[in-house]
Amino acid sequence: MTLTFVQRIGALSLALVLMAPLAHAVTDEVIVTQTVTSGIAINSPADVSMSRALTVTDHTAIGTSTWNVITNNNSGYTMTMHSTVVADCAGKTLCNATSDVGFTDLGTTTPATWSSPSNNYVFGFSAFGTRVNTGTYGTGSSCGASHAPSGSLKYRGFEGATSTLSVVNHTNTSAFAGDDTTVCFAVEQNGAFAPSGSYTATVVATAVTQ
Amino acid sequence: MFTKHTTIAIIAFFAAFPIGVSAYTIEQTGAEASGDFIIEPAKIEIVAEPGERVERVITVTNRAGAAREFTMSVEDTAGGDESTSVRLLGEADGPYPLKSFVTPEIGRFTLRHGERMRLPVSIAIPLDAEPGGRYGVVLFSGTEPGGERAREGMTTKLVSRLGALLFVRVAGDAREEGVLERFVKDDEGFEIVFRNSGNVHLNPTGTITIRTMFGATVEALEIEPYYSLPDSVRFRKVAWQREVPLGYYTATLSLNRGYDNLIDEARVTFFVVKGVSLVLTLLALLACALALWWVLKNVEIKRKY
Repeated sequence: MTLTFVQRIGALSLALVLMAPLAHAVTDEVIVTQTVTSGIAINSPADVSMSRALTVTDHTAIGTSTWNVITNNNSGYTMTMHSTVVADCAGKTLCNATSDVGFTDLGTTTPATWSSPSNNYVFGFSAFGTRVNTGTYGTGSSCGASHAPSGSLKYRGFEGATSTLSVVNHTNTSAFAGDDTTVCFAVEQNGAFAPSGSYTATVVATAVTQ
Repeated sequence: MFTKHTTIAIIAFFAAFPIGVSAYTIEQTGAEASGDFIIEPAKIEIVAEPGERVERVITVTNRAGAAREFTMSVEDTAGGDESTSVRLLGEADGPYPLKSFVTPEIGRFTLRHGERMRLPVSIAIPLDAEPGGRYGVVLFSGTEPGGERAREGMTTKLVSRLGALLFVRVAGDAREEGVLERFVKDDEGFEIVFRNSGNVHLNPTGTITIRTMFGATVEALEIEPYYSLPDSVRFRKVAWQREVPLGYYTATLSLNRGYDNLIDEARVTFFVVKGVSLVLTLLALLACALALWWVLKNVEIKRKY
C-alpha cells in the first residue's frame, strides 16, 4: 500500500506524538567544590651593613632592606617590625656588645622628618612601598642619597622589644608576586661622637594575615 | 635465647633511651627557590569544650634556596584599633590568653630548600575554662643555620617571622556583642568600622549596594567574612574605583554582625564629578544659554487680534 505525501506527513506526526513520552530528558547536577587554603609567605633579606662607617668627619649613614610578603588571604595582612633590646646596652637596640654602648632610638611615637637631637647619636627607620601608608612614613621612594636619610620619608625609633610597630596594613590579597616593602635604616651623630667599634641591631619583621 | 641479665639490660637501655614515634613529618616538595618560606594555614579557628585537647597541623615550606633553621614561639594576641586588626603581645599576657594552652611538638627544626614540615600543634583547654574566646599566634622565625656571625662596623641583623593566628572558642554561652560604628566613602572605596564589645570573636559579612539617583543598581560589592576580635575596633576597607558617569549616587551597606542574624544598615551618598563629563555639562549649559539669548533677541511673540 502506498501513501500519498499528505498521508505520510500525517503518519509521521502521529508517530512523533506517540513516541514523545518515551523521549524524555533526564537531568542531573554535579556540584564542584574547590577549597583554597589561606597561606602567607615572607622572604629573608640579607643582613644590612650601613652605607659607610661613621668617622670624625662622616656623621650619617643609611641602610636598605626589602621584605616581600605573599598572601592569598582575602582580608589581607599586616607587617610589623620590632627590634630586640640588648639588656646590657641600657635598653638600646643598635649596640656595641663589647663596650655596652648603644645608639639612642630616634623618637618613639609619630614618625617625622629626620632630625637628630643635638649632643647625641641616634638610630631610626622608615619605610616605603605600595602598601605602606605615605601619611605615616612619608612619600619618598628611596632611602636617601650620599649617605644621608631621605628628606621625603618620616622616621622613628624602635621603641623597645615588646612593642611591634605597624608598617603595612593591607586589606586584600597581595600581588601575585608579592608586595615589596623597603625599610630604610639611618644613623647620625650630632654634636657627640659614637665611640668607635662594631654595633649591631636585630630587627624582626613579622607578617600575619588579618 | 637471652639470659636474664641480658634481658634486664635491654629493657633498661630502652627505658633510658625511649624511641618515640614523632607525629611531625618532613617531605620534599621540589619547590623552586624564591627566597622565602610559607606557612599554611595562616589562620586556624577552633571550637573546643573545656577539658578538650585539640590538635591542628601547620605546614612550613622552605623556598629560600638554602637550608633554614626555624624557631617556633607562641604569643598571645589582642584586637587592635583602626590602624591594625591584631596586636602581637610578645611576652605579655593577652586579655584572652591562649599561649599557655598551646604546645607545639617541637620548637626548633631545620629544613633544606624545598622541604615542607607538617607540624602538629596541640591546644589543651583547661577544664575550668569559661565560655568565650582565646587568642594567640604561633610564630615561625627563619634564619640561616649556624647562629650568630662576627660582624664588623654597623650591621642590622634581619629576622623574618610569619604567624599563624589561633582563634579558639570555648564552647558555652559566650557574650556576642558587636555593632557597625562607621561607614564612609573615600577616594579609593569605602571604609567600614565595626566594634566588638563581646568576649568572643565575630565574623561580620555583608554587601555594599551602589545605586544611581533613580534607584538603578550600579554594583553590589560582596564583603567576605572577616574577623573582629573581642574588645576592639576592626577597620575594613572595600576598594571601589569603577568609572561611573557624572551623577549622584547612594551606597548602602548591609552588614551582618556575625551572630543572631543581626544586620546593621548604613547609607552614604556621593556625587561623581569627572573631568570630561564636567566639561560636556558646562558646554551644554553654555549652548542652552546662548540659544535662549538668541531667541530672546530675535524672536517676538505677538497676540493675534
